[in-house]
Amino acid sequence: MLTLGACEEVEDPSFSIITEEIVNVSGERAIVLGRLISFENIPFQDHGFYFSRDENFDQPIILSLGETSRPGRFLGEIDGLELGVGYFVKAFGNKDVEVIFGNTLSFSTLNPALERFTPLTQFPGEEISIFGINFGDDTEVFFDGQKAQVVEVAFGFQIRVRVPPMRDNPTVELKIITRGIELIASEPFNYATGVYENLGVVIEDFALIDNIYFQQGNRFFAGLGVDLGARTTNYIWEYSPGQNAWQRTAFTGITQRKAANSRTGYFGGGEQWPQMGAPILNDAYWHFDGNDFNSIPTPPISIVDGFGFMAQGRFYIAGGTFGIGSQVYRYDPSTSLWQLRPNLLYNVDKSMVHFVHNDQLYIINKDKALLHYNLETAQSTVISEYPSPFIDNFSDTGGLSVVVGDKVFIGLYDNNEDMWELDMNTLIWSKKNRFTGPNRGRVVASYESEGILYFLRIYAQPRRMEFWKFDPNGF
Amino acid sequence: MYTLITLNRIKHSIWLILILWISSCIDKFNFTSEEPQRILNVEGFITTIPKAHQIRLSRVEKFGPEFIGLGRPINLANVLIKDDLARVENLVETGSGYYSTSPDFAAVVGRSYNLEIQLLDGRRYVSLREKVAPVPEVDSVTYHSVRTVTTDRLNDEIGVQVMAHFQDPPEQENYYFWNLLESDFVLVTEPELYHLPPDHRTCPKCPAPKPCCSRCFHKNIPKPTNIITLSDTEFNGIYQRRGIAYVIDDGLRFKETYRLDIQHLSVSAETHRFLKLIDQQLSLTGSVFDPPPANIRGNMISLNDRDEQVLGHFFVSDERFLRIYIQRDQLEFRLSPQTTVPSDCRNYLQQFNFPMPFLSVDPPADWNPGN
Repeated sequence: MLTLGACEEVEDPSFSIITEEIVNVSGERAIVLGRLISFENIPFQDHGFYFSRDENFDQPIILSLGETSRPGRFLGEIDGLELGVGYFVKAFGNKDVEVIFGNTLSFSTLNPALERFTPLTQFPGEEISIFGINFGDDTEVFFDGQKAQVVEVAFGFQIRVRVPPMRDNPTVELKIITRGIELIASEPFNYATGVYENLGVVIEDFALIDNIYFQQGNRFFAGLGVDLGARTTNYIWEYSPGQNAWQRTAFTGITQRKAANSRTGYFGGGEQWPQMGAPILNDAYWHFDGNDFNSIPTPPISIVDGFGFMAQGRFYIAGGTFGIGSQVYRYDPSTSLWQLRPNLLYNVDKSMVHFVHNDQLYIINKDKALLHYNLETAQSTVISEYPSPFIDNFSDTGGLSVVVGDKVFIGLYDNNEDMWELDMNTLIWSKKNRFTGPNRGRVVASYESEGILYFLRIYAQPRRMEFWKFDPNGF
Repeated sequence: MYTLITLNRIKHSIWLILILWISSCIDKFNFTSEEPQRILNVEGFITTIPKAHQIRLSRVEKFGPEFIGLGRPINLANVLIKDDLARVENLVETGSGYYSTSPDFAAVVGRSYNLEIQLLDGRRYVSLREKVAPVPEVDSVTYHSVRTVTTDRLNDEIGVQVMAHFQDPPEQENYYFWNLLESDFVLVTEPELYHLPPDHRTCPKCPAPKPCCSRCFHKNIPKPTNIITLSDTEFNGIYQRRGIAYVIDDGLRFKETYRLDIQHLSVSAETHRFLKLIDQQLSLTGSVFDPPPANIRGNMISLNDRDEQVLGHFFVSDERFLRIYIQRDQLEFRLSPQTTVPSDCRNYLQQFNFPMPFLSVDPPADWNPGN
């Protein structure tokens, strides 16, 4: 009796299967967490998850993870789900032909979306990146219907695509098709534009350096300084678009080299180089009123290679390579007086690109930072960065900056061919076509007329100066 | 007769030796000690404050009295943070094993996030979902000094207890975590007490007061490094006056002003549990009352091998940055005597003849103890 009664019935070990969590869902992919709860190892011939569009799991998609015996968590990742629909999922374990299911969870897959692309402007053959969500591996990209080469679809959120050749419109619609869904970018894509033309109009036998330049209406002026052969010039020349030659003006001042100039007709300072002996400072300042060059009072400071600018109706001179490189003086034409202004927080000189927009001064320093300088509060703020690389003492000086409305064209630094358009409202930089002339040159004067840029550029080998025209919107 | 007995004894002895020799054979037992695998370790969290949030990936190494190896960083991994709307933030490797979000990235309250990692060998890991719960605003932060009796009868421990005053919301479960950040403080030294070194040629140990400087700014990780996390289970909905930080007085920290920076964070229940367990393990003292050593599971799981162990826990928090200036004259107790540094404070880190930066006498740009 005792022997029989002492027999113990062997029971199957108890266990539970739980569908624990929807870990992550994207467009066509889901990661689900299940758990096998038991106090001991239990052999399962298979385990995994059932997915289905309906709660009865009539036509399930079975994600099989294979044999297991160890209790604990298990993850399943399924691909190829339909976009934007609801799914049900439950974990399963297959033990001795019987299939045991866990609880049921539900989730919805998400639709793809196109959020942005960068850069907004690019050259044909170069890459842009499109960002969004749930891009499938079958993604196609079109530029105004023209199919582009997709380089990579990275993790469903970034498409790298090569820009196809431009047809007849530089501004095109950007469209992608992913998993049969069509998405159009909210902003158009822009091909880089810009056409350069060498006008072939030169200042005879001169290649200016350390010169001044300014513009009044459609009249461009350039002169003083020396040429590449160190010959000094006492002349200022004038040119108007459409003419076929630069004309010498009636300027009677003494030769000034490294003078400061506003782009409106004020200039002066610098130094003069006598035929014998060391250079001497020249503190003469001038203003061209449209007819004559008039002498204006001498400021209480000598400035060499300083930069000048006109803002709020006043002529400013600043910095330079002689003395304190951060001093600022202001000339008020209404009182004919010079006034000391607060020092800049950094040294500046004529080799740094600067421009005035809406009576505010902007400077690009040699770290490529675009600084906004408030003339009233003397506060300086970094607002952006020039996008092209600089090479120290090679391509970080010179350059041009021309303001056309709310856009500023900046580039053509020394020995460089990059040109950019900066939108002053959005501070977005857009590429322009690269300079098509020789790149080992230096811009010495720049102008604008009716949205077209003009600039003088000098070259050392062979020694010459060229006069170029740039249509920013040409293609 | 005697000879026979002797021979028999010799025979018995030979048999005995033979039996002992045979029975003394030992089978070799092959034993391999368990070497820890170089498993993946994930450290980092993101918050609702826009900044470059950082995730660190490394391989764990054996930790013990024998130095076995370095915690080597894992380079060239793809590290992504995904939310429940399928937005993806691609982290960039900014240092060896350190991966950073873009500087303007911030988590959003109410959204859920996963960390996904793909290593160079193709292995993939994903964290469980972490939802961002809102953290209650802190009304004010106060501090007071605390004296604690220690086993050393002559020296009590002195420290500063920082209290946060806030309303715990009654309608939701809240889990809090206060993370102490590297903080700035005024290092006060006594250059006037400087003496020449003992090996000085002409005047060893002679007084040679230095003219400068006695007040510098130094950085410090607040100690002790407790993990302070809390569940509102016992005080749900009740206004709180809660200790959120404790900084021990080491004789230098509170000689003038100590600026303590704290992250006031909400965490999920799972993260709270993880942090609490970590704190328990860090607080082991070796006494019989210690909790047993534990294998603390994080929320990172391998997508390729369910048996692979991954260390670390990725979490997401709503953050409020707290900053408090602890002033010496506001403290009731201070460590006495305080630590004397008879030298120029700028050279404080140089005293061990190791190339280190000089301390600054200028305060950090945002130093404002008046607030």
